[in-house]
Amino acid sequence: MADVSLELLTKGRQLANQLKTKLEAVVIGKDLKGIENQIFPYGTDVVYKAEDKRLEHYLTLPYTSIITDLFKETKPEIALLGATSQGRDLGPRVSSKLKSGLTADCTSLEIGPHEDKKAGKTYEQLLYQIRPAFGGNIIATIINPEHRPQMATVREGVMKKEIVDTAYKGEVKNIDVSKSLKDEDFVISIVERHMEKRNVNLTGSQVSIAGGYGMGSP
Amino acid sequence: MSGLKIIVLAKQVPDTRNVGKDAMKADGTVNRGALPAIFNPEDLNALEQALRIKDRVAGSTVTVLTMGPGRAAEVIREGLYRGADNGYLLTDRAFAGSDTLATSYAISKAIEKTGPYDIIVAGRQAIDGDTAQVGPQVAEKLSLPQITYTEEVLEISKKKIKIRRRLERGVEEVSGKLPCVITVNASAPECRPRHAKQTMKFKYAKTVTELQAANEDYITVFENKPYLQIEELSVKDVGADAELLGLSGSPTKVKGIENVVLEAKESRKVENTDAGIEEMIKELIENHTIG
Repeated sequence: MADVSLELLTKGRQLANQLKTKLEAVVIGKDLKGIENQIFPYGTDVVYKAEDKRLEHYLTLPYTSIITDLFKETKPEIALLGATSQGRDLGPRVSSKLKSGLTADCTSLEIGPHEDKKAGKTYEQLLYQIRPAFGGNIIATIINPEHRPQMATVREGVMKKEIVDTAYKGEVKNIDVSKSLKDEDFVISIVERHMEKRNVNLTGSQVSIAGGYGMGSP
Repeated sequence: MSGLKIIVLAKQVPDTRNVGKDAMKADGTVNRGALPAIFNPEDLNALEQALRIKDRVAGSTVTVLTMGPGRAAEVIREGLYRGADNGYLLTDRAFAGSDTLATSYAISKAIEKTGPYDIIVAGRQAIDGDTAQVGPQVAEKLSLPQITYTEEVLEISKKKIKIRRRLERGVEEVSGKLPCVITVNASAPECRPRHAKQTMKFKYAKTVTELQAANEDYITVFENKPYLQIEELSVKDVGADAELLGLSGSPTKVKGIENVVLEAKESRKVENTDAGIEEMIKELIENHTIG
């Protein structure tokens, strides 16, 4: 499981507590047996599993079909994705299909009220999607008053991951992928993949020390 | 074999990479006037990929499409100087305030309007927003497959494409069919420079609005040299629904902006002497940062 997913589960649990609602997760892939056991301890109430041998590696169209169908059915208030190369490929596609808004690379997520004076409307509990913009020179708070889900991507290492309870038990729901997947979802196919191992895991270290060229020898 | 019709999506952006002293005011707000407007860097990588496809498949054409205010015609001229064949400027007050969803709706309507196409090439993201959303959203609006993070087009023909794409930890080779949308990474080859002949040819390429502002007789100019006209497209021209554009068409709203004032708050300067360094090391050991 990618660290960013666990970090988002932790954040999701906090937001769900504030909103007094459930935290749900969706996993897509092949051979997902027992994967829920890695997800429940973060306080997850429901794990949706979409399993198919064609889904081993990420592909835009089939993953989009599964997620949009799931969102249409379960109508989540908030949807969080990792701002990985996959999440940043999938997020916009899903948000465009559902005509919901999406905020990329949030550095902070909070719940708060909003008053739209022009329309004379107030909203009690919106997701504040906070992110740097303009090359990091400003920090913007984005909201999504009318459309659902309120979607946001977050980069790895921005949120903290924290196990809620190792014995936390949720429910597993299997998605019938044949209902969502169409043959034309597989027009793009992966010919070859070369993945590099990560040598240094900076996000996992407590202290990072940086040095410039002028530092000289120790 | 007839060539491919290639559309490049380009954006004019403020150069947020070189935010100098004048670009930020003391209160932290952006002084837009002090930031030069540039061709979004990854859109130049996209233009290069488009030009390479044109070089490879005889008879292909490259069209640059941009959405923005009147001065964004600069981006199209730059594209023409480097080897594009023509361009469209999608410009209308009704576009102001559009988020990525409303923007991609407008662009998809313009693409449908400008006729048949084989491949749409865009930069991965723009440096003023860094969202990387418009490429995939345009693809979705046009019901096309997308290939993001393109580094190299390995094979291309009228029907098929094979691409090497860069992921955060590795590379992937994918194949698919045309038409499709590809977005291009900064790690792809840099764009070629201006071509002298193209630059001479398109030096006076202008929009009608630009020639009107300069009090030129644009009717005669464009009658004699129709290639000099950069066509402007409005909401009406592309048949877009105004409700789906601008602020009303944008599901995301900006609630507030906080300005970042960069200043040394918690930093300390250590004297570059043995005593100073020793002091620092002692302190770092004492508070258990090291050791």
